[in-house]
Amino acid sequence: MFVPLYAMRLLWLGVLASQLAAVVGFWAWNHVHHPLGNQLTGDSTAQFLAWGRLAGLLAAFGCLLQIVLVGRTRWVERAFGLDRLSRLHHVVGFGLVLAIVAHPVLVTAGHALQEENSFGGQFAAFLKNWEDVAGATVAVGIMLAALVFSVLVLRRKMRYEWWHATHLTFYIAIALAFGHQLAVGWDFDTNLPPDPDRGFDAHRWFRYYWLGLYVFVFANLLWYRVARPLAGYWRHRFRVARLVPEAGAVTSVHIEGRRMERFLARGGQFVIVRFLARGFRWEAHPFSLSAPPDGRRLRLTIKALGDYTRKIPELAPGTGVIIDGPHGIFTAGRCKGAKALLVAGGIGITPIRSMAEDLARRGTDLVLLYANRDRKSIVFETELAELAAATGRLKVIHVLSADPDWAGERGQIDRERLARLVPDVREREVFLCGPPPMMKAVRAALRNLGVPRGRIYYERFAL
Amino acid sequence: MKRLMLSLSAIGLLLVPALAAETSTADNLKAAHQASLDAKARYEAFAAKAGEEGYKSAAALFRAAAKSEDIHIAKYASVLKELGVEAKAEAAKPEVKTTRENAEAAIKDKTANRETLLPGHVKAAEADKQKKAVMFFKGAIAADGECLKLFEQAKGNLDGWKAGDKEFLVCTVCSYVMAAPAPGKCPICSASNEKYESFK
Ligand SMILES: Cc1cc2nc3c(=O)[nH]c(=O)nc-3n(C[C@H](O)[C@H](O)[C@H](O)COP(=O)(O)OP(=O)(O)OC[C@H]3O[C@@H](n4cnc5c(N)ncnc54)[C@H](O)[C@@H]3O)c2cc1C
Repeated sequence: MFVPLYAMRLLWLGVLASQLAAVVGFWAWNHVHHPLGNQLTGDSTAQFLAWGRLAGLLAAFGCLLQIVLVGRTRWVERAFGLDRLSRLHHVVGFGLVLAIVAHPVLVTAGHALQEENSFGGQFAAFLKNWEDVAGATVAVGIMLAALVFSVLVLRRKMRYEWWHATHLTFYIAIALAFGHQLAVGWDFDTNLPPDPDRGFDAHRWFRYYWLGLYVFVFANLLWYRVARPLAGYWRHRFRVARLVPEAGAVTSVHIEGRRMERFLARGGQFVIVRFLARGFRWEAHPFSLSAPPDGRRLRLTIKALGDYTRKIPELAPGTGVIIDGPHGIFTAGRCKGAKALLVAGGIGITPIRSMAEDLARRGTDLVLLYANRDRKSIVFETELAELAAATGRLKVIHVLSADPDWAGERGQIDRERLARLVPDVREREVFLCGPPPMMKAVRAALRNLGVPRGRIYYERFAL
Repeated sequence: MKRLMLSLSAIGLLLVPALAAETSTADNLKAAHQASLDAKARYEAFAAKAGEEGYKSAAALFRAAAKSEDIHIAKYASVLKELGVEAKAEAAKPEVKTTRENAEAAIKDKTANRETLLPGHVKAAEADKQKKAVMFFKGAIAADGECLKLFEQAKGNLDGWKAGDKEFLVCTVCSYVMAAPAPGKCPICSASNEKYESFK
């Protein structure tokens, strides 16, 4: 079924907004109809407790949202693309710190006031007397540590694998915090005396709703992150068929399996693969499909950039592969017009290569600007030339930054070069993939040349 | 001059209801304070009587109810003090009958409190914007409601209340009364169970 992108986005934003409204709504109802009177207009004790509880609810809600954002939940991913969701996950993550810290601070302050205690004394009393506050404190510690590690990994002061391991402890934190919510969350407390004025038992319904929210989010997570990839492996029995060395430190991995015609993917999408071999098994990495799926095999083309990717040439044919995907909305399907400009930098050619084929076969008029250091690091040089010759719709222009022998374009893809090489750039939709600094520069140059933001599509090689 | 007089009296007229309203909450607080003083003395006497008659659990409940009233007394007194009103500290001498009749009296008491007196006080205090008074009156409504339920249970099966196997807990922060096993934290004010006082 074809559902337009904007409709999917609206649907998902609607779902998110309504859930957020439900949480805030329950909270407000509970506090307005509090047995001691409207707490939202109450004294400072009431205010501290009410807002502290809201912070706690939002922190928990935020954690669930985070899981949805990175849970590879298909109906969300199809609307935004995994890379965008990952970026949103980063932003929400740092915003969450606020709620995670505000909750214990405000609630402790409120109770300290009410029970005429010092702040420290009150917190100690919580630890001693409230079930699950100790667990929740550990949870806050884990969450804050995971956030610090995220900053470190972004600054490349920490290895990705280490960061990933610390990030997984978040699930422990979420479990601890969940116990705490059900045990002491006043908003879910079903021990309140019945009050005829209140009409309906909002606390009980909130509790059911809250449980439902967790079940929904974790069911999605298990389904999309675990069950689907395993089921796909079961159905297709993906295997490494062969390895083909490409230019530079790049290797193509061909993957075959059963009933491959039923593995529905489009050029430009990517998969998250786990090779079932020693030294590979424990890590899953994302790679783009470097050729449109032909119903028989998938091709990934991988550049040796780090520990993991350097080992790729050692993979033995016959190795099993668990595939999570396909993911991504960087596909030929985004292109509405008759003309497109493709811009690739380095290994960023992979999704562009498969999309070029899809688009050229559709008859789209294509220009490809392909940036590399030097001639010997151009991946798919022959293949692209052949595709151009076969379809007659593709013009390939190589731009090399550091090759003195190159007679063609030398330097970077900048505004001047774009204007000169693609004079009709404003009539084209643009597909862009490459190293982050290059993407940034090219986007700026394109905007400067009058290409609207909505017609520039790009994929980041970072989740 | 005449104009000035007129506007002054207009201001005066505006002020009158405001002052009147303030005194109404102060009056209500004084009345509630006195009622709680009386009730506390009464429940203590009822507890003694229930003890004599061998209704151990009923005695425990009366003592818990007295404690709850004690907390109301302190709360009302604190607001009265803030309003600069002196509260009397003498309770009326309680009238003690049999435990069954005492339970009935307590039920009548609590019903009246909960259904008419306190809600009226709440309305007046809300109109006066006396947040603390609102909170305390509402806290009393919640506590009295639970207490009432327990008194009704006692009255319904007084013989079952001889054994002394029941425990009652009073939240010393908000005065809420609960039968054991009670939740780990007070459903009304969220104070933890270390703030409960136990009556058996
Ligand atoms: C959507 C997408 C498509 C991609 N397509 C291709 C492709 O077609 N060809 C190609 O060569 N590369 C591709 N990459 C990049 C590739 O995933 C990384 O280069 C590879 O994971 C690096 O692993 P490493 O351990 O060898 O390098 P490291 O030096 O350990 O990591 C380098 C950087 O890669 C990222 N990275 C590392 N491990 C992971 C992981 N498990 N998941 C996500 N990111 C990780 C981190 O940002 C890290 O800082 C793609 C990335 C994304 C997000």
